[in-house]
Amino acid sequence: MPLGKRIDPEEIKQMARAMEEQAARPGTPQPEADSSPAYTLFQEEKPRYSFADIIMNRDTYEAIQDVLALYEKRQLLFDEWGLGQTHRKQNCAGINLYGPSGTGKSMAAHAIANQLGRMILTVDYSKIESKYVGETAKNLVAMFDYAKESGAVIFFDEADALLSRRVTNMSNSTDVSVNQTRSTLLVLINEYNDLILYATNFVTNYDPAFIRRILSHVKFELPDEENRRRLWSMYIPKTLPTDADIPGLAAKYGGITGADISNAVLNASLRAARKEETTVAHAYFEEAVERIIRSKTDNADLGTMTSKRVVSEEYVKSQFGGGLPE
Amino acid sequence: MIAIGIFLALSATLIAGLAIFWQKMVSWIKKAAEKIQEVLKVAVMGTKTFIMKTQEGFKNKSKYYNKNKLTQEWEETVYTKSVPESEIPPEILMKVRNQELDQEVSTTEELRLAISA
Repeated sequence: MPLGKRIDPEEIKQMARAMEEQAARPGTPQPEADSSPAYTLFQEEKPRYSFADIIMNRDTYEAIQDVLALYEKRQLLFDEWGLGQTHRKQNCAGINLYGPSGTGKSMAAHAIANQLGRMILTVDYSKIESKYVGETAKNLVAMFDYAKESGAVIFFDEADALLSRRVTNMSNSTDVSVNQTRSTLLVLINEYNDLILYATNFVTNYDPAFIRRILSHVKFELPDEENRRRLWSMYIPKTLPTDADIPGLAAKYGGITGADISNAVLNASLRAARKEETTVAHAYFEEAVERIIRSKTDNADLGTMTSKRVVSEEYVKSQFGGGLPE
Repeated sequence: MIAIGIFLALSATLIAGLAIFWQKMVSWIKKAAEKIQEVLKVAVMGTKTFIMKTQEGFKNKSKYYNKNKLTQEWEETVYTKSVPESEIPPEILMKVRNQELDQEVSTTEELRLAISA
């Protein structure tokens, strides 16, 4: 199936039937007797954060609020202003939160659900993905059905795991299965009439077909000095005995995330407690944050490991001009 | 074909003679190969390098190949890393600039020539 092809809803049913038939063939691994309905795989939860709990850059916040107007100002937009006639297909939205890890994307997803007064259903890939042919697609269908019934907002955290590019040169059954799963997901997203949230550190891994179906992409940036000062103030408890110079820490250490600051506060406090000191010295915060920055620099030098997979000997030969590396 | 041994054997003096883009590439490949050997406990046997234009700027991509001693299967590990446009040699920039987003452009041969010059 060519990338980006629009799939008729009927095709998904045919696809599911084909996968079930394939799974039923002799020699194909079969799941153990299914004792519980697929629905028990999923559990929505009450959002754990609101926007009051998150320190984020103003532009990021504004971009999220713009999309939420789709839900909060629906009548004005679609009825009074007539967008219901011109944007019929866009009365539901996907919001993709992307940016470096530790910048509050997952917290923001909870805050969005909280603002809408909805529960949140975080997709647990370990429960969706199955080694059995066709099972992953069936689990995805069940999850969307469950979300519809429960009214929860679907949240794909680390979404590139499922939304990454489909394989163009399918060389084995795993590639075929991966493509079937992604095609199924595309159809489900197309047909779904509600908000879906995505978060990723690797937006460039997304299949363009998924990118097109997401209304808004909101970039999460590392906090600026003002936000770092607010983060240090938030993570250092008022009751912590310390002589920390918060404005000094915020000014001196850039390029760090809220999660880094949280970790630095904990590590500095651990050191003071272990040494049985009565005050968490400013120097401990500096040492802790410098350790974090050093480890991040080492990782940045290395880049990101984006994939690891088994490949055929023929594939390796094709990469090395017909021979094998020695 | 570029065997990984070439990179591991390159001395600091030799690396210093290369353009900054290739210097960083060699150093990166060495680091990644060592990391793969340390973490995955496998011996990397060959590598291929690429560059691509993405929504977030230019990225180098390196692919490492090893044969798993237990399963006897070949494995491919891929690393990517952003590269500033100002560091890309003009001839490479010309090749990649007109490509579509995320299209891999091989730099293996250019790297081989650079380190054997």
